[in-house]
Amino acid sequence: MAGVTSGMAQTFKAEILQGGHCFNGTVTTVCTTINNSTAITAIISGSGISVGMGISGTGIPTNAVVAAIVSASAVTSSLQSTASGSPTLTFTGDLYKMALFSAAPNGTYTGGEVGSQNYVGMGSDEVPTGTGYTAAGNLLVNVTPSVNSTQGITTFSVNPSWTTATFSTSGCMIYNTSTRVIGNTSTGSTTETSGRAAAVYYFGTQTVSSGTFTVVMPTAVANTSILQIR
Amino acid sequence: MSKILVTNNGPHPPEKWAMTSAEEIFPMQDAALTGEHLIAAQRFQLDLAELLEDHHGNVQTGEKDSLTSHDDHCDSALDVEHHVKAALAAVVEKSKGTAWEAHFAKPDVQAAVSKVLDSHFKSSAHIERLWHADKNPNNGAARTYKSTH
Repeated sequence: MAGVTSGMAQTFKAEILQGGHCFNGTVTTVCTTINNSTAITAIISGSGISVGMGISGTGIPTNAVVAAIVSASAVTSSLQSTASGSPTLTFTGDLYKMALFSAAPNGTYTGGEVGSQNYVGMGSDEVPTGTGYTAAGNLLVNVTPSVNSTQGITTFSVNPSWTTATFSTSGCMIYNTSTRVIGNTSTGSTTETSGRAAAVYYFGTQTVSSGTFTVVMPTAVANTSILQIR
Repeated sequence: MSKILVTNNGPHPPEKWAMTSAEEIFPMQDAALTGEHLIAAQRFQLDLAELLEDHHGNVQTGEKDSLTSHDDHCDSALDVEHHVKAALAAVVEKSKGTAWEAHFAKPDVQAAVSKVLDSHFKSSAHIERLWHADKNPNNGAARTYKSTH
């Protein structure tokens, strides 16, 4: 039966263990860079920086990422700096988005079904681009995961909203826009892929007309947070 | 998924946000509540919503004023800290003399309440920015804000 059933994508569970996701929030801090060097040193506030996070700022080439953690105040960039100085650099985790399903999707979308585990699989079952909605959905703002009670939890800091909106929807998909080369241990295949789903949620048919549609995230504590590992 | 808010013809009004916040801060899911306790709890939740309506209204009004007076306001980070502190103090004060006074006096409960208020206030201000961008397509800061959220 076609439709959306709330659930965490099965592939997501494996990808977490493969290091395929980074939910860390943005870290902005003063650092020291050296021209033609991959060393980034004298990081004033490095808490929350991990390998693979994107780096941007003055003297940092496009697509640079953290290649290694040297110490609490020094990391190695994947690309050489183009200037020496003490810039404020920004370290970013993966970019997640929320896309909306149409009111009556033809496909089947659950955490475990093939086809539901990537944004591309939504296809024509996504709310069409139109008044107040653009294909691929809205960008989410990461909040660095933490431990609450005995659970690992994360959430997103501003509740995703669509304004001047006229559409009907029945559910949403949270997915990772950042690319990874993911191996399939069953088939042996490897695929460079983005759009990997973290979870899908069903909330029943909702219709908005020239107004505001907001998905209010549950409180970010154990047992209720939008994403949790128990 | 906690809740879906839908409002036709504009942003969510303060009273809708206030009820959403009250339900998160003081959920009525305790099956042990019966009789007078249940009625008192429902009344307290409505009291919270009533007092939070003013705070949500202040957030929206403040954000609208800033957007009107500063063309580049959308370049700044969402800042609702003083609204959160004021609302938290009001919630704690409202609980005094009720069966939930001790509950809201706990630091961990106050931290959780602050987290909910911070999320809802920021979202309300965020929505004001999105509407501002819709109505002012020539405002570069607003347009950039909308495209990155």
